[in-house]
Amino acid sequence: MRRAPGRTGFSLFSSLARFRHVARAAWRALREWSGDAAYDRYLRVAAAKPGAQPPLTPAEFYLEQLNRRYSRPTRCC
Amino acid sequence: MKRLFSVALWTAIALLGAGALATIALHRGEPLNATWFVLAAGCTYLVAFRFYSAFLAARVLVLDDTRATPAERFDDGRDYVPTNKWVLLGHHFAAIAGPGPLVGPTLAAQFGYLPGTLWLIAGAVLGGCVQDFVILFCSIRRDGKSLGQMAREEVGRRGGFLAQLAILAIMVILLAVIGLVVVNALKSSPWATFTLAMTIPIALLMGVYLRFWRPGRVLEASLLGVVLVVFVVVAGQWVADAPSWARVFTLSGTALATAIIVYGFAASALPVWLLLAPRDYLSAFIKAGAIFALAAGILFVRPTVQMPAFTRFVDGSGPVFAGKIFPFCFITIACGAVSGFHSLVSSGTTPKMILREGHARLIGYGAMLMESFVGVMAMVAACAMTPGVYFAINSPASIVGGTAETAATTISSWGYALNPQTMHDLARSVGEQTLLNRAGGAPSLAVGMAQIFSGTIGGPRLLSIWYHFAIMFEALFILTVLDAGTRVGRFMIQELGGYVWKPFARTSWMPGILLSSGVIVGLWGYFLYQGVLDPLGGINSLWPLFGISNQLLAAVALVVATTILMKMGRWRWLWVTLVPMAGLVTVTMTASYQKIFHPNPRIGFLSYASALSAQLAAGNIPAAKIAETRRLIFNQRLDAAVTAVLALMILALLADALRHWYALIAKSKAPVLHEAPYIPTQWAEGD
Repeated sequence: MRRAPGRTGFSLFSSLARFRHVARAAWRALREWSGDAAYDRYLRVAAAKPGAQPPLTPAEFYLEQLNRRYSRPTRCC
Repeated sequence: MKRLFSVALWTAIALLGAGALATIALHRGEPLNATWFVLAAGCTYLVAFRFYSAFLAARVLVLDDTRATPAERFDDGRDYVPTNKWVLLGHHFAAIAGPGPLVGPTLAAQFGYLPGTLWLIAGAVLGGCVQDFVILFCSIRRDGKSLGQMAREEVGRRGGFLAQLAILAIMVILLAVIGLVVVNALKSSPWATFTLAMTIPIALLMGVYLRFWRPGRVLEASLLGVVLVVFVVVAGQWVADAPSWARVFTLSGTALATAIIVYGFAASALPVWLLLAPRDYLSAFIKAGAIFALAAGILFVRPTVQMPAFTRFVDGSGPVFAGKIFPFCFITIACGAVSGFHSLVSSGTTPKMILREGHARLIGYGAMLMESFVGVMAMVAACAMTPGVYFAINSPASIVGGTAETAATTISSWGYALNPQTMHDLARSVGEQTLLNRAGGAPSLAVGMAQIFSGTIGGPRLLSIWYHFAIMFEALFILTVLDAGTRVGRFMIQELGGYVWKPFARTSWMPGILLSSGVIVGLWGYFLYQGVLDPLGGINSLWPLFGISNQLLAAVALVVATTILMKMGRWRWLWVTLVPMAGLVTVTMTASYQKIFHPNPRIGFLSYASALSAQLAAGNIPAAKIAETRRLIFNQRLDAAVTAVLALMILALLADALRHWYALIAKSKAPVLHEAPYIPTQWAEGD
């Protein structure tokens, strides 16, 4: 991106904005990686499917996830 | 112009890598700086990823981004979840990276730094990464089917059954050997034992938090857990300093083994949200943090590698484990170069989360490169200490003696200078009473890591904290593998038992849960307990057995992959999986043969049993030791039988596959590929 000469204030602002953008993406990635965002995601998918049964509560969804995950190899040597 | 720049850049990376590899291979004399290892590994990985994995993706597998993946077709927000490729890379890496790439290279360092380092790099690039990538691809094309299911469909029913059995066998031996690593790290160490014991109430607290207070809020609970774990690492020092408390947490090997067996049973039988899942969250965060910290520490401190390129133990007389470089270096460094276990993850959760086929290259091939790098770092950490100290920590008492003085005399006589005072000082500086005879790799790696970390932050003052942090980190995620593995083993046994009696397969039926948990824990617990009692250190017999079973599973995966490539008509590129498969079969068969029949009692199970029987018959065993010797003889024969069964299983599978391949080559059988039909993606290019 080309920057106008002498506009340091603007460049500081834009790098701050870029930092915020990167930080937000990293936070989103961390939430997805750890499983923190799994329920939000499930609700979005459930809402998009018309005529589906009422979605699970957070606690039900959490238990269902765990029971599925730990019934097959998920951790290696 | 751009192309010219790219050619110049990649030529420079390749030359730099070749130069670094040549330096570590040809250098003799003065200690070598660890930067060379990082450069050699890093540049080779970059070149392999840029060219070899691109070739695999474009020519061999012909990945197709226009094809909808299972995650797109079945997206339900629960099991099939389309996931950003970088997030999934992190996910997949966290799943495949376990204690194996840390322990294996540390043990193999007894041959010197060179054999292990070269195998870590070459084995990963040509074998391990290929296996992970191809199996991931095959599973994506089959809606996320498991390795066992794919073996059944593509190779035949017998192949499928053998694959299932191999998975169960590797699970039992893996759990026993990693249990033994934990025992050797914690025995007679109140600080480390207290810290690890406290992670159980911490996990219970997190479990209740995640189940009742804030369901599914993993980050909050993990942050709480990590803070508490750091606190108990520090608090362990106070416990070790208070004699009345220290006594409670000073446990013998057998007591620790019993505790681990009870823990494994509890984790398998209790609800998963209470203990298993929260521990897993905790360990994932600490694992990721510790691996990044180790990489940063090595780059920052740039330690020198004290171990020579080759030691005298290339002749097979090594004190850590006996046997020559071929085949034992390849068996010892299983994970980090080629790990059969990865094929279970590559055909488990990951294929159900992948957004596009093209991402399989980064996730399948790339994650294994990262794991290999972890192995290289472990090698550097182990070789950064002086060889004398390394051998004192890792050799069993039956070889070097139980005191610093005898160990120093024996190890110095091998040509690796060691002063007994060095061992006393080192033990004191890391807050332990002794570091001798701690075979298993975890304590020497912890010493290596602590030296690197304290070179970055805190200096010698914090050495003991860093040491116990490293021990806690290793033990924590070993126990996570132990409890998750026990639970999966329990399901497998319930599934097998279900063929005999239906109700047994119901995973919520309490008597079934208790019985199957008891069976799986009994199986690995038996090997663990005998390993603790073994005068040769247990690791000497169990780790090669684990390596053999792991490489066996890798051979199974590559047989399945080769069969699928044949059916896809990729005859020209079969060598991609066939060559590593042939290599693994050769290594596994040679190692199995030697472990059973080798005339040296430290290598061959049967000759050890015969030697003990002869001593017994000659009346050379004191009366008090007769029962123990009889048990040892039985265990050696049992180990020989287990090795033979594993070897026969791979031969049976191979025979089955060869018959199948012959039919495909002779065109007497039409190739039937069990792929899901092609459905075009509905997602736009940038999704």
